[in-house]
Amino acid sequence: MERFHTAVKLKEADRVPIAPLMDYYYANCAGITAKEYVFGDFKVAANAVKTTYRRHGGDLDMVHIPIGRVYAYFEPFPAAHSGFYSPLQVPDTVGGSLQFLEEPILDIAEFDLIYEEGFSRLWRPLPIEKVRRTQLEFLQILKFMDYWENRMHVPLYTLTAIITPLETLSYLCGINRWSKYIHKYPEKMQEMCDFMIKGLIANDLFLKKLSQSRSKHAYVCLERVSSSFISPKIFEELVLPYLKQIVTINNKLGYINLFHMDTEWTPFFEYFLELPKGRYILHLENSDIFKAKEILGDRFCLMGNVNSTLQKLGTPKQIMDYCKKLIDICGEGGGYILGSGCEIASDAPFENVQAIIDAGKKYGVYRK
Amino acid sequence: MIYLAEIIDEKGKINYDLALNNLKVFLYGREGKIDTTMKYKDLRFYRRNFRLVLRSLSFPLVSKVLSLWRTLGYRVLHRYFQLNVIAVMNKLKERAKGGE
Repeated sequence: MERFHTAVKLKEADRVPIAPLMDYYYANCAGITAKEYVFGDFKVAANAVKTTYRRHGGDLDMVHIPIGRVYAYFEPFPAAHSGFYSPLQVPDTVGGSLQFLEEPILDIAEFDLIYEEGFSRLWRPLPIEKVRRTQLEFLQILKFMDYWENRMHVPLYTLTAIITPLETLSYLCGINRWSKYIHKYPEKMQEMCDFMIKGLIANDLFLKKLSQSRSKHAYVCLERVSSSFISPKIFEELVLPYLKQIVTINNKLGYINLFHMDTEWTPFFEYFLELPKGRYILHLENSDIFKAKEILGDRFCLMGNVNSTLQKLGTPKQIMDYCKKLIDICGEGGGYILGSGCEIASDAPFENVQAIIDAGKKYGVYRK
Repeated sequence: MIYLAEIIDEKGKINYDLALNNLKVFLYGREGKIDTTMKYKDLRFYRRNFRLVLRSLSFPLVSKVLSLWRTLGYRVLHRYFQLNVIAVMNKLKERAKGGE
């Protein structure tokens, strides 16, 4: 845990932390199907995490809770993949992963109804028994968290989650409608974002309080509000003000802002310099991480970005070479965590994931 | 940023009453009605799964719950449970019946 948090403080630990984000890969590595992992007993999923950690030599500096099952039946808030809002498909094969079947379920004409009746208006019919069971699993998640944080001293990726209002709307309205609404009805979108942010922050505050995580990572989902999806102007008006509110609260509570930044963010890097001082991890996927080191490296800890194509289709040598480059450039002077871009592909070969770990151990040593 | 000052003060103290209200408005709306009565079937489920609850218990977990009780108090915890667990179940049942 110390190694990880030293990097967050932009300092050099004994070596670069090795923290590829995993979820369905745990199932693959433990030889169980995605379905068993998501819908089976929680113990099965928790054991898959332990098995993966052990098989990779106990060298992982971070683990993740089996989050798919939480998305499926636990999340009444419209987090990206909540089963309350859209159907989820979970294959009964080893190496598969949960698929969120995105359907547009919210029209701008219904916004007034949402203000009156809330987002529960959009919930799908769900099997009550499964929802009850998942709610009860929260106790086991806390136990899981205690095992990793207090007994193994391995930090967890996160136990809280917040998503910016505009991005949440993309999942509910569907990308096509959402893009149209942003340009045609910016005021209405802003009004809705103002309505949503209060509830999203409230939910996150309770999650923080209930989990009382030692790692103190505050996950902020930043996937669909990047330069791959919106213009700088839209980012300035409909994302940045809300992001500032979120991080201000995290900073006041002493949390580390963990930005999960999928897709391409390079053209927006400068905006991050406007964020208040605090502790940050920018977990990058397809952005130029070397440029990030140049622009943001003296204020933000960087994490990433071995992408899923390389994980799945590359050779161990190619992966080790890319990791070496990452460590040499981004690891310079500390403030870097070796990780995956987004998460490890559910069907990534074992030896390719091991190559990331081996590279971290071989090239990431700061001092012996 | 006016909202921020209301929800959290300079020292990081959170206004949980406001947070609960925001949670309610977000999920159930400004005028949405919620049913926070625990139904017999739900109670039966928890009774049936009592062993699962016991299995999940550990010393750190109990101390976490006690710390929550101390910092949030019964009223806030109870209300949160009502909004995020009981009302969710009841709303789902209501929607399943198509009687929303």
